[in-house]
Amino acid sequence: MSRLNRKSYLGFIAPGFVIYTIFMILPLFTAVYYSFFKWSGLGPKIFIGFENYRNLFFDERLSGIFWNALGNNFKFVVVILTIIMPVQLFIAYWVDIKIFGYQFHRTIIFLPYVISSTIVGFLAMLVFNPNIGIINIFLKNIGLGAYRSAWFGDPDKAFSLLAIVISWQGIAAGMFIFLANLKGISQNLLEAALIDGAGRWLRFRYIMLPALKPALINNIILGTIWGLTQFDIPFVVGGTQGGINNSIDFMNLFFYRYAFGGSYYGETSMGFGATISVVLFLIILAVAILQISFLTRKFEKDGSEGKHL
Amino acid sequence: MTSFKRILITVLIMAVSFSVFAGAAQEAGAAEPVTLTVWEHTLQFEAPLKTTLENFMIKNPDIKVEYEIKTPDQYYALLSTTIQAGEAPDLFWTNGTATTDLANMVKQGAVMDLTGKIDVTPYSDMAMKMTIVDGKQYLTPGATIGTRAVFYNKDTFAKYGLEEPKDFADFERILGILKENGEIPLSFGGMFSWSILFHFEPILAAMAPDWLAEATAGNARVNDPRVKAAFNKMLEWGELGYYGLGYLGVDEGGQLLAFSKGDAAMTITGSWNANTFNKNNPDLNVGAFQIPTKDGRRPLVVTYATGFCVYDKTEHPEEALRLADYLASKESQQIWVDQLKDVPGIDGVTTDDPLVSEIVENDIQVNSFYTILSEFAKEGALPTQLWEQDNVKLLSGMYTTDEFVEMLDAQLK
Repeated sequence: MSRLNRKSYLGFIAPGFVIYTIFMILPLFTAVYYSFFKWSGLGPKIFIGFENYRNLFFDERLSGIFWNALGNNFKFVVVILTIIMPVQLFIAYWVDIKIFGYQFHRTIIFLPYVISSTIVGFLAMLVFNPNIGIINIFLKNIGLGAYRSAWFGDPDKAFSLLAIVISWQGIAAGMFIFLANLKGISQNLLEAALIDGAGRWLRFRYIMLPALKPALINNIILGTIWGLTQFDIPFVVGGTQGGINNSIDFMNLFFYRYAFGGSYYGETSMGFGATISVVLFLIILAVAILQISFLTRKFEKDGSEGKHL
Repeated sequence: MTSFKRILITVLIMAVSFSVFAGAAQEAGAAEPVTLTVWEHTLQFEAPLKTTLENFMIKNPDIKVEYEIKTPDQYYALLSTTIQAGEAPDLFWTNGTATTDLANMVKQGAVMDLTGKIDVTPYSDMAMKMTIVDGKQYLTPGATIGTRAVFYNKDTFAKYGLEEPKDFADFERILGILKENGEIPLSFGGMFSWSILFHFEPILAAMAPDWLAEATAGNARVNDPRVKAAFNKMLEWGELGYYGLGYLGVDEGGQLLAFSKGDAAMTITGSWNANTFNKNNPDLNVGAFQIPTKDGRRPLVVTYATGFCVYDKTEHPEEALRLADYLASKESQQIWVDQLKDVPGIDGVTTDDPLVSEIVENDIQVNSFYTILSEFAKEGALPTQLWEQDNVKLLSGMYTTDEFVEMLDAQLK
C-alpha cells in the first residue's frame, strides 16, 4: 500500500481534529493561562502567579464557598448513582418487559426531557412558591396546612427538592441508554432460562444485569459528569448566589458568579473565574479517569472469569 | 468553439454580471438607513424604550434603531463579553456610578465621553451625579427619580377600616391587625437580594433618617446602632409572620404577583413597579405611601434614574450621539414617566398620575443605603457585592445582625 493510502485516514479526521482543537483544546489552555492573572475581562492582565489558586483553597471566605459548592456537586453525584440510576434501570426494565401501559409511561417520562431547563426551573419556582404556589395551596385546602413550607426558601429542603426537579427532567436520558442495552439482549437466552425454571428476578440478576454493564459504565460516567456540571436549573431556582445560605450552590454557579459578577476583586474577575473552571476540569478529569479504569478493568476481569454470558 | 473557450467566456460573463449586481447592491445599500442597536437590562423598561425609539425614528428617518432586552442578572456578564469581543451594542444601559461597572468600562475605554456632546441643561447636579466619572459625563441622565414605597390594596384596607398610617407605631399597628385577620400584611421576596434592598431602605429611612443624612456626609458608620435596629426590625416583622409563610422561598416575581392577585395587603418595592401591578391586575385598587417616622414625617428615598452609554467603538458615532441626545431630552423622559408611572425629577417633565402623587408625598428626602455603600467603599472593596450576595443570609439567620453590619462596615472607608 502506498504511503498516501496508509496516511489517507488523516485527511478524514483532520477537519474534526482541527475544529475540536480550536473549540475545545485551545480554550482549555487559554483558561489555564488566564488563571495566573488578575484580569477583569477588559483591559490589561496583571500576572499574579498562583495567587488565584491560593485564594480559592485558603481564603477564609472564598474557600468556604468553594468547598460548599463542590460538596453540593458530589452530593448530587451520590444521588444520581444511588437513587436516580436504579430508578432509570427499573423504568427501563418496566418498559422492556412491556408492562401494561408501557408506551404511555415511556412518553410521559420522556416529555420533561424535551422541555427547556429554564422553563423547568421557572415552573418549579411557580409550583413551589410559598404564597401562591399550587403545592402550598393544595396542602392548605386538604387540611394539611401545617405541612406547607418555604420549599426552595428552606435551606434544609432546597437541595432535596432541587434534586427531584432535576431528576424529573433528566431521568429519561439514562433510562433510554439502559433500554437500548436491554433491547440487545438475546430473547433466546431469556426463553431458555425461562424454560429451565428461572423466574423473573433470576433472569434479571444473572442474564440481564451482567449484559447491562456497557450501559452501566456509560451511565455512571455520564451521570457523574452531569452531577459535577450542574448549572441551569439551580441558576433559575436559586439565583446566582446559589439559593438560601448557598444551599443549592454548585461549582458552575460559583464560577459564573465570580467570573461575571465582580465579587472578589471589586470588578469582573475573569482570572479568578478561569481558576475555578480549571480546578473543576481537573476534578472531573480525575474522577472520570478513575471511574473508567476501575469499571473497565472490572468488566474485563469479570469477562475473563466468565461472569457474564 | 473549443470547450476551454466556452468555459472562459462563461466565467467572464459571470464575473461581469456579478460586479454589476454588486455595484447596484452597494448603491442601494448606501441609501439604506444606518442601524443602531440598543441594549436594556429589564423587561420592565421595554414599553417606554420602544415608544421612545419609535418617536426617534420618525424624527430621524435616516436612522433605524433595534433594541434587545436582557435580564438583570445576566446583563453585565453579556455586556462585558460583547465589549471584549469588540461587538458591543451602539448604546447600552448602565446604572452609572451606583456600581463600579461604569468606572471599569471608562478605564478600559469602552464608553464614549459625552461631555458637551448632548444637551443636559435641564438636569440638576444631583441628576448628573450618577453619570460623571473623573469629572466627565459617560451616560445620558435620567429625569425620573427611582424611589421605594409601600403599595397597599385600598379594598383590603377599607375592609378592615384602615387608613394610611400616621406614624411608625401606627404602621406596625396596621400590620398586626392584618395579620390577626388572616391576611398577608406584606408580600416580600426574601430570596432576591434586590427585593431585600427595596424593602429595607424605607424601613431604615423611617427609623433613622438622621443616620442617612450623617452617612451621606461621611459622618456615620454602617455598624451604627440605628442601622442595626432597622435590620432587627425587618427581621422582627418576619418572625411575627407579617411576610407570610416561607418568604425566603419567594422571589421578586412571586412578591409582586402575590400583591397583584390580592393575596397580600401591602408590599414594599420600587416605584417603577407601580406599572407592573396595573398590568398584572387592572382591577387592583392600589394606593401608596411612605412609611412614616415615629414623629409622623414621611421620608422619601431618592435615587436618580440612569440612562445609556455610547459604545466608544461604535461604527456610527454621529448617529449614536443623536440618539443619546434624544434619550436625554424632556420629550423622551416624559414617555418614561407616563408609561412607567415614574416620578419626574426635573422641571418640564410632569405627571398627573394620582398613584405617583401618592408615592412622592414626603416631608424629607433621604439618600439610598445602597448608594452610601457604593460611595464610601474602600479601594478594591465592593460592599455592594457583599450586600447582594449575603443579605439573604441575614434573613435566614446564617449571620446575626451584628456580624452582617460588621462585615459591611469593614468594606467601607
